[in-house]
Amino acid sequence: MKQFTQHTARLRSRRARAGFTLLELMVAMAAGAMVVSSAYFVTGATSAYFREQQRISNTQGSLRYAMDELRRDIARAGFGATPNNLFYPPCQPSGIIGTQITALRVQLNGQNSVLDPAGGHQVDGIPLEADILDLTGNYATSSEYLTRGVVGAGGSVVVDPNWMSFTRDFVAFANNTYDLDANAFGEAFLPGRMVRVRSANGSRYFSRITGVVVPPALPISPSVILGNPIIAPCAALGTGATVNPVSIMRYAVVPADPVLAPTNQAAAGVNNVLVRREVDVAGAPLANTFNRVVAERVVHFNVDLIQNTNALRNTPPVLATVVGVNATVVSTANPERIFSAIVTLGIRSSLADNRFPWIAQPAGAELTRYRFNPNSAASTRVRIARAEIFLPNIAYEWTNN
Amino acid sequence: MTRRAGFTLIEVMMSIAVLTVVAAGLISVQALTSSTNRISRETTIATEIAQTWAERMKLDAMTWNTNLATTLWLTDSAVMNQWITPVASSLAPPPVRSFAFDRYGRDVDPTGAAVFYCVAYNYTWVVVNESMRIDIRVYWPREGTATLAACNVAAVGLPNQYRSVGLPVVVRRTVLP
Repeated sequence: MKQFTQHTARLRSRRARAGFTLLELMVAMAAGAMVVSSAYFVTGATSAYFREQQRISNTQGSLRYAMDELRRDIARAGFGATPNNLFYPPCQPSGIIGTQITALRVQLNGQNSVLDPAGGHQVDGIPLEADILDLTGNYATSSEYLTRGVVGAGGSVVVDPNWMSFTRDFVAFANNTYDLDANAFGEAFLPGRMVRVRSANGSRYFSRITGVVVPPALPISPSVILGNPIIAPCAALGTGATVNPVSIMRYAVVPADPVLAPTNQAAAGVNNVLVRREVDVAGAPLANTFNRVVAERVVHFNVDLIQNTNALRNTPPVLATVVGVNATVVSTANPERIFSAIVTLGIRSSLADNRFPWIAQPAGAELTRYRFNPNSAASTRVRIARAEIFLPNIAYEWTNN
Repeated sequence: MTRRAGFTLIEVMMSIAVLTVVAAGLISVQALTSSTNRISRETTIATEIAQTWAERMKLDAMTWNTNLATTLWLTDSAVMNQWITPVASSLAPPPVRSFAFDRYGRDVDPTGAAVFYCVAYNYTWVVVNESMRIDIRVYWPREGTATLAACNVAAVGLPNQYRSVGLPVVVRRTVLP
């Protein structure tokens, strides 16, 4: 009986203590905190990882796009223009425009092209390439247009508005009639842009559009004279002469517009962009044209050339690669013998990754890491693409004409 | 034997299994993301290599004037309608024009340790002695396949072990004036 009473009392007391002890609660809370914090760190690391993978994917996508742009433009160099107006019939001692016009020109680390300006084109001792590439050709339309004659002592070329390429490019169908599209004509023949007037036998005269274009007449300066030979043995610009616009497209690496640049440069670095801009013969941006950003966060832009070293045109070409500093000399000395361009473009990812530490890059090695902050232990990833691009408008003209 | 409070073996096993499934899912998604990015990068580089070789072939066709003997690579077309490894040749000064490339898409010694991508061709006449079609194939090892010690054209026939991209190009004889 006594035993039973004691048992009942124990039961009662246990019922009174129902619930968790402080110790149990502390252990449970500690365990819970560990679970929650580990979940927090796992999801944090996972999302950081995915964001970095997204940046890599973006970098690779931008690189592909930029290489496509470059390939399209470079393959067009010399189209509707000339490999070298000092070599192909200039018909004036230095061409009537008074300057050398070449299909392709490279300036090595030109002053207008900036990469890491404080570091003098290098990152942690590794020189970075930032060439300037000028491409000359008809980038406005895909045709040349028959001329009808000149007026005003050769200061104005009149285009034949019935010629097929003219109607295809500059005639619009509106209100049930075919009307001259003056805007399209004016955009193709922008003031300041060059024109090439080509005689029926291939002699080329380069001039510049001077003022507002009233189709189908093109005001140009210097004048061309049709119907008379200018300088023997150049052919007369008579029946069958054609005219087309000629642009100089410049690829250069420049700092991004401050409006577009990241506000926190210490965190995201200076954004150097590869731009495509149209320039005039003096290298100044052409009015009423726009810069187009081809690639952002560019860390390397290098152009080398493959040149035919054989000066004779009726013998097989002898090809040699021109790397580095010689490219400037070659591209001004014998631009008509450049058969291929070798383009290397490097883009970095947008932010430094703490899991991708900076390691000094050995000189001459492929750039795989880039750090915009010399005091940072983290670096950004670099993706590089290179391509050899054949220049048919130069190579075929040299070999076949 | 007293019964102690706690989880049974079954409960512990189940919870571990659930955790494993969750962790494996997370890790496999991460692995998939990074392998997709890697394959995309490899394909981009391989495509650039294929295009570069297409342009090299066009360039080489500039030296195809009277016959193919004067060309660097088109002379390989003595063997037609089968995959072949091109001869190595260079345009001085370096870089060497090679049919082997490293992971960054740079021309390298085709027997060296750095080889990752390799190029093979298949020549077909379009018009005999006037124009030819060249199928260019760039191949590289899949994950799990050993890196190529040297380029071997037999890899073109092993798609389970090697990825590849292909690009056809047509070149013509260049008649000198």
